[in-house]
Amino acid sequence: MPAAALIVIYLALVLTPLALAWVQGLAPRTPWDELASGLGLLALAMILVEFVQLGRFRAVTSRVGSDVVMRTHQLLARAALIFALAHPFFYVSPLAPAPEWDTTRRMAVEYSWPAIWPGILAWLGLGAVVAMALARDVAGYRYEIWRFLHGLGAVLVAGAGVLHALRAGRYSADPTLGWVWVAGLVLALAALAQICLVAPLLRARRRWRVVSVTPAALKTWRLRLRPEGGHRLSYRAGQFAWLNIGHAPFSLNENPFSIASAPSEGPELEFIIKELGDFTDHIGQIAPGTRAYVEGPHGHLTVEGHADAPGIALIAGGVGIAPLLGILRELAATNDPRPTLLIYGNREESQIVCADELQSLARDHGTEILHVLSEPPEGWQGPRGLIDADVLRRHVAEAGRRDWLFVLCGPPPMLRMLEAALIETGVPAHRILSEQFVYD
Amino acid sequence: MIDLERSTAARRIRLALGLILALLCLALAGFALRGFF
Repeated sequence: MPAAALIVIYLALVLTPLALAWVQGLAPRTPWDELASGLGLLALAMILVEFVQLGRFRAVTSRVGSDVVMRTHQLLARAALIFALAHPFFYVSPLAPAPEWDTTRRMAVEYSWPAIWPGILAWLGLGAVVAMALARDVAGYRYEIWRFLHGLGAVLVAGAGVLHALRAGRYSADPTLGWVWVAGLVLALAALAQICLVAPLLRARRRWRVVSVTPAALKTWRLRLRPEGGHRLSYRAGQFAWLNIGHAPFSLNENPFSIASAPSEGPELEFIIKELGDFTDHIGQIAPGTRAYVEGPHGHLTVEGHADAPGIALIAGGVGIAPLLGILRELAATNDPRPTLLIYGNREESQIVCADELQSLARDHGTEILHVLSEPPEGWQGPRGLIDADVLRRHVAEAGRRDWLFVLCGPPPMLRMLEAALIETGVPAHRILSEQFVYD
Repeated sequence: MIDLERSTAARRIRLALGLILALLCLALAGFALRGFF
């Protein structure tokens, strides 16, 4: 079971320093002192492993999904913060220079300024990095500035934390553990360098050009990219990629968007992008010919590997239609014979993305399309309100579609509700695919 | 017993993190109290 293997690998990585400290055979101090040291060892190991839990490494994300990796990154960072914050407060031995005869530093806790200042810096820095991440949505930082500060803060915390361990740690004074910390820091920085330097270098040679930017619905745009040269992105319908439009390849100005095109349709990529009050408000002003870079693909929202599902139901909220449109287009382009159902929720009719194309898919591919509007126009014949358990009961349970594959994309509260309602309806969890990047 | 067939993705993440944190705390307690063994 791959997910279980990742848990075992994670535990092995973060417990290595604690295990190496344990086998040193140094006489234990009071349990409180040992707890304090153990908290520090665990917190630092967790911080270093955070660097590879970034949702960009396909060896990890292909097994459990980028969203799950990012979520564990967020939650385990909070656990590491709690361990790190508690670490200094459990020491009960005196803060004093160890007597000469106390060669294993059993009677005192290292307190010299060169040993302590990196610890204070890492301690404060970690609190600031996590607090800034938690406040990200409410504070409304510009995304690229937030990414830069988050990365810089994390590097400072990791570097200062390792320096503190090497200078102050009773157990980290051991050469083996000392080298483990240095190797851990090097690997963590290498993981970051892979994202910030190596990946941009590789994609600098794979340029794209904006072909067109056209309206897809109210405040929603359809952006098409064409590769320059003979390259093409090898992706599966429903995946997403990081887009850098009009900036240098090393720029932090890149954002993740679902790919709405189908791989079978050719090398061009299409993205459906909604104006969300940030840089996306200017998508409509991007001129054809603008240079772009694409990093990806990422994500596991794809129907590949589910050939045994007798039908495919796609449930979208708002701009969540983008990856599902890619899946529908691919199913139609490859003449997949399985029946398809699209349940698509919006506030008003003008927000329905690619309404004409959806009609064509219904006509030509036989896709059953159900539009659900919370603010429908007068005379609206379809369902009103939100996509809820009642809609699912009528179109899933009563329609005998419990054994279909369900692919969900939309706002996180909607996804949580739909997942729970589908499971309540009797749909097995392994038949439900969804990706959500905010869980709080 | 946990029925993973009837478990949402968010719940499975919570379960995995709960397991990880429980094992970390157990290891920490063992390390702190090893003087008594």
